Amino acid sequence: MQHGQFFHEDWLLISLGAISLAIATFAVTLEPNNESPSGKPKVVNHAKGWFPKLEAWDQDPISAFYAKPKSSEPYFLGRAIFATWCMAGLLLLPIAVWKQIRINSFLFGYNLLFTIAVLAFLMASQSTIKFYNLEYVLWALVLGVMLSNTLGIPEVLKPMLLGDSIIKVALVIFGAEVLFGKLISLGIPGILTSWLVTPIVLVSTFWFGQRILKISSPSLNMVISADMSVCGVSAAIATGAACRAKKEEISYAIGISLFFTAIMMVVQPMVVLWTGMDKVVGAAWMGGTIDSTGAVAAAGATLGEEAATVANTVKMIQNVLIGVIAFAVAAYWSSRYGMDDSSQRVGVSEIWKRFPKFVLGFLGASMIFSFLPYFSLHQGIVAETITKEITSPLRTWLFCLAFVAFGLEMDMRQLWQTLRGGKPLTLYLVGQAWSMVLSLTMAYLMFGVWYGDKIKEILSK
Amino acid sequence: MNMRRFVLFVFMLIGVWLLVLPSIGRLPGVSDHIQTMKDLRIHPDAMFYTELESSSIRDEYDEPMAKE
Repeated sequence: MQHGQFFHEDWLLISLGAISLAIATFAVTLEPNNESPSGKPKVVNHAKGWFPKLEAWDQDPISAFYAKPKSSEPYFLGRAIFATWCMAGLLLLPIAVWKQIRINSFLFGYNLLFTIAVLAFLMASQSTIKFYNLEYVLWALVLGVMLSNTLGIPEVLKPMLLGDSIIKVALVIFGAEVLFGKLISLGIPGILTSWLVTPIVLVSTFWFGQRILKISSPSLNMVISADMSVCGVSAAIATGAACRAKKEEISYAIGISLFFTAIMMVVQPMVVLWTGMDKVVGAAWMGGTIDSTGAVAAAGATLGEEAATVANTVKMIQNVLIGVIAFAVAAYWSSRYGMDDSSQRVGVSEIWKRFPKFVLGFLGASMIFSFLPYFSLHQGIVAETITKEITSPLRTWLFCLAFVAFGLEMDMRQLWQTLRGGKPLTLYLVGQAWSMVLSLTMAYLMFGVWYGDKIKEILSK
Repeated sequence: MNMRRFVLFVFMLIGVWLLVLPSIGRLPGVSDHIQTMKDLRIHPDAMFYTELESSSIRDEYDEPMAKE
């Protein structure tokens, strides 16, 4: 099958993401709620539990496969895992057809990727690992690298290493979770703390990496700068795809982010308490610096409910930047760097040709879920149900499949070349230190000095 | 293909996940941290970005109700 230049693969991936979001939307309905005195309808999710999350386990890994809901008996997640296998397989099938992958490669490759993904989730669910935020993406990479560097990759599997394509579909779906409505939660102080500091740190860190450290790979520089300044794993993935970073570069950025996030999640709250810092200021500081949303939640909770609210909200406002940053990076990269990373400047039509189209799908999903009236019905419970219970778990499974594929493809010699000299680690440490200083200054000014009273008023409501 | 290295790695993973990590989880500081997270019902995974409006999240298996 010949594909014309007009129809870029990204349009297929955007379509798959859009279809997934549409199915998720139709799966959530508003139904009459006869028990409610006000007569407001009930939100019902007809796809509830389709994409399971393994339970935390301590010594018995089998217990991870039994859901333990609060209001009913534990039940086996086998059916849900099978449903996920079917849905993810249906999403990958059109990609395989597009790429003219043979059926035996598809079946063998997909089942291997899925099996390793389940193992990665199982490893991530062990209590000690889980509650120190060492996420599934790390274990997906570890398992993939382990397999490829011991048993090797059979030829029949190679066509199904579709990490790049899977990531893009997942990112389009992820767009639905990035809601611009979050921006107004804390008003000006939240926006300034999140949206002023983040781009300054991103741009200055990138400059530092290019001009001072002279990191040979601009895309590695960008991915590290983004994951450290915005929000960790998802920022690394989105900007990595936007600047066509190598898998090894994205994987390294994620690995270093997870390692330091686990440390910061524990240490930063201690610093707030030991120094006697105002907890709201400290929470805003943590929200602006700790890389991952989950780790911010954990760190914020140790300072109390008010602090947790501030930390989480600052983080979520920062997360909204992912789409904007990905778009800006894509536009910059398309004009500045060609497919061969040359620095030749190009015209508008060439920029469009090089522009990663999936970013438009990501932004489009974000805009639709942020501004279409249906999704804000009943204070956003409709959008929250769709994203939290369907699209977010689906996106998580797709990320895991993609990172298994990345791990299987990873060239350790290339990674070593990239990391030689310790410059990427230096970049991360310097950038994170800079982010912490700037975030603390802004948090102090916004949440302590200028808007302290207004924040207390918002929190007391 | 290096089967021996593969088998070694598998045994190492099994050993770490079934023996070492549970032991670490029982150390006083670590177990306190884990129990605090469980008590607050915090999910430290970074999978969700819109989930948290306060320090705790609702049980994902509860039926969502329209807010009054």
